[in-house]
Amino acid sequence: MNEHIKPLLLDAYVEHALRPEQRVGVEQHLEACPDCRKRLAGHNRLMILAAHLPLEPTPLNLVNRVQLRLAQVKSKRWKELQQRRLGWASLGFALAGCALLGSAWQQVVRILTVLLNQFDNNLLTSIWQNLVNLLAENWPELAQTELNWQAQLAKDVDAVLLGGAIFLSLAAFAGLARVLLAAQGSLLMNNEE
Amino acid sequence: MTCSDEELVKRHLEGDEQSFNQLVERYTGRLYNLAYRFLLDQAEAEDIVQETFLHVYEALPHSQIDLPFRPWVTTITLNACRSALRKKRPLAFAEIAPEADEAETFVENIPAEGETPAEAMEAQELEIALRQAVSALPEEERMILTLRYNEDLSYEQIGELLHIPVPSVGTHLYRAKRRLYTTLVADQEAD
Repeated sequence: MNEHIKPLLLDAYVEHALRPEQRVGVEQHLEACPDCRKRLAGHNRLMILAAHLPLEPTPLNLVNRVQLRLAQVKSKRWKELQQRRLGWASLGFALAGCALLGSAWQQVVRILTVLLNQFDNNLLTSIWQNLVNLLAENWPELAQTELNWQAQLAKDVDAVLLGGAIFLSLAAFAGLARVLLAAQGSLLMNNEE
Repeated sequence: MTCSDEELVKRHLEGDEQSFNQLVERYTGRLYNLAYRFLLDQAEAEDIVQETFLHVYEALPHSQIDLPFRPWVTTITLNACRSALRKKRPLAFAEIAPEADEAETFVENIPAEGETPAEAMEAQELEIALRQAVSALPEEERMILTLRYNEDLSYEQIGELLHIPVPSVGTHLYRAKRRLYTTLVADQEAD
């Protein structure tokens, strides 16, 4: 290396940023070249000055403000989590209600039938039946309606159960919608952040 | 006993609330320094620090905890700074012009003997002068000087963080130091 060392190479040397083989080359040249040694001193002075570079003073309470904001975010996230859990729980209950109703449907009809048969055997029913017979003799149209009362009752029970099932399904959809909205809100918020 | 960053991260992930606060205490000053040097705006730099910690807090449970914390958090801060700056104006590190003759002879004009500006000034005076001088540097030089001398990063690490080739890091750093020296000597002479 007969030419003088380029300033950038010499600067990288004082910065300990050279590869070992480059470093050896520079050191060999420096031993033989007083001019480059003089320039090396200049580079060292530049480095010493730069090494005094201070950190910018941290603004007052910045640490506390960061910690406070983190606490607020944690609290918000916890509330969202609770809401989401509540949504899932309500959905679960609604679905469980529907499932129970569906599986108990035949049982409900059977219980009602037994109750109606017992009711038939009651004294009250006998009296009622006599009244119906009396009605049949005098007002045949009314009696015909009354003779179909058991079938009508079964239809009413059907309607009530169907209504219940619809209500629970709507509740399930509402729960699901709430969960989806909460999830979407959370997603939007994350994207904004 | 002082815990390592990675130990604090591990504890935080295990449910220790105080560990993350310790990381905040440990890194707020450094990250603020980085953000301020990048943006030269106190309010924006504070926002960046807050956003960085929020990002870290949210991302930690999904991150590889065996990665070193410091480079990761530095990268997040610099990315946030870049985004903030991009909103204000397009960011591009300037092409490096060929070295002028002045650069070749610059160090020869630095006296080998006598007091350096650093020695000639009182500590507080020097601190203020350096802060002013570094604020006046071009963006890329300011950042490289900060990453090198405040963050003790290698040329390779700086190049990776700022997406510039390693030789350019050396060039910018040398220029930054020259400007810093010139400014401080000029200040001294003016006094």
